[in-house]
Amino acid sequence: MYFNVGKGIAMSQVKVQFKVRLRVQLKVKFIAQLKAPLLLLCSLLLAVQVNANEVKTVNSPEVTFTALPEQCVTLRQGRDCFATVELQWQSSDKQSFCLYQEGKNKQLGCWQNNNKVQIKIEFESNKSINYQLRTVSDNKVIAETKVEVSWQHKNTTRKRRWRLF
Amino acid sequence: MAFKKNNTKRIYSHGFSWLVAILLLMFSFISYGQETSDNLEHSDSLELSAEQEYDANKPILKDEFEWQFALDFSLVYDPVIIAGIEQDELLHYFMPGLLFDISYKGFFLQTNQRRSNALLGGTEFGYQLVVEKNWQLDVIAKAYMQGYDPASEIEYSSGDEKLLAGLRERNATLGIALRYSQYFENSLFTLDLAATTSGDDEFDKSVRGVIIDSFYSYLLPYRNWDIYFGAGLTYFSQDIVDYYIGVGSDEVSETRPEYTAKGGFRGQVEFYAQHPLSASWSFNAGITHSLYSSNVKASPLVDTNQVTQVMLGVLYVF
Repeated sequence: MYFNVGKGIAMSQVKVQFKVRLRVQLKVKFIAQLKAPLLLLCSLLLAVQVNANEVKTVNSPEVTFTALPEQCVTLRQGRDCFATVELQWQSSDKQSFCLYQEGKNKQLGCWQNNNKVQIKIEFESNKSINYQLRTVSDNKVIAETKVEVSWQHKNTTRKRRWRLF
Repeated sequence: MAFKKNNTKRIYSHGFSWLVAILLLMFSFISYGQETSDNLEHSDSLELSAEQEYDANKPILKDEFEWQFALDFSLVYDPVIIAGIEQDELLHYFMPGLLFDISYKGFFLQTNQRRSNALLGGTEFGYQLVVEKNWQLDVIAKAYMQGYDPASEIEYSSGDEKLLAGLRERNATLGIALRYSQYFENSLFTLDLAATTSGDDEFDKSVRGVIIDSFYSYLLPYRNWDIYFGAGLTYFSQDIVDYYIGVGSDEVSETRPEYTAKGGFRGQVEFYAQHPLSASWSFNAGITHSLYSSNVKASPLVDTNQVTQVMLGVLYVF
């Protein structure tokens, strides 16, 4: 019912923690604003879309943990966003991990002595969600990845009407 | 509210491409900060903030300057009830539009967001008189009906010369209206009481009339889809209907007797769906069926009293 602007940006934030307490944080933020002449509009838009679909990847000798898609877009702010998200982790050595949604204790999956795992989950949220890989033995967070929720139309206090023709 | 097809409307659409380019350039340098849920601490606090803002602004919602622009790239099947006017070229189906929604201190300028080819024809300029939680009263000015130019239809759109030659041009109907809006959980009812003028008749007198336009729209969210079901009923006073489908003494031909039309109604049912494709693009499609009163069909200018319009396209939201 509400109708206003406020598209989501492609923002990624990935944290990776190693067993030996080597902590690496990568924060990448880029704000895409369309400030281009009309003739460049199409190519610019395509570029933005490509960026938005890039996979968050942290290459480390230990663990790579990614989510695809990394962004879930809903039409209006505040609405639940639905997506089938593929989470994947791989490591150079065989390891045992459990997958969690940050802030919740329920496991989404556990794997023993694996070095590459893919899992599909049904994402449903109106907020961005962090997913964590934790060690089976001591529940330490080894890697994180995030699925961001963005929207095309921002909620405002002014309401609009709808009609086609 | 495409009562008639306006060939000049299409010509203007192509001619206004430069306007689209200029507006894009102007507003590409202004942008809301694009937001994700990360930018907000909690949606609950957002709702509280909006509520506080709402209360502070009553009875008029004096919002700060807000805007939204969208480019509409749609294919539209847009038949009309006037005999001899057809969409016969592929280009006639492509109706790009610039959709906008601008508001400041109670004033607003907006296009009908679902309507293609809405560069100018679908624009509503209004002011919020009363804003309550579940209802609202606005005064608005808008074009309620599109006109049509038989000469342009013949020259540019392969309009049927036998049926259209000798007919005078019909202008758009402009109106000033009080709009009452009632908001429900997932639906909206609006009622426009409009005093309108449709330009000059064959005697160079201004044709004035009344339009009462009601519409109900229900939103059914399904996953990331927005699905809307709508229904409307509109009354057109006799002067207005006669202006568009009456046959004046100067328009009489062998196959076209003089005709004075009566006032009439139009009922509409509508289905519309929208789905995001990315952060900027969305797919949208809709269908509207309109049924006019049976007496409309009695006009020598009309070959049917019901039309079905279909729209299919993508929107780019800035």
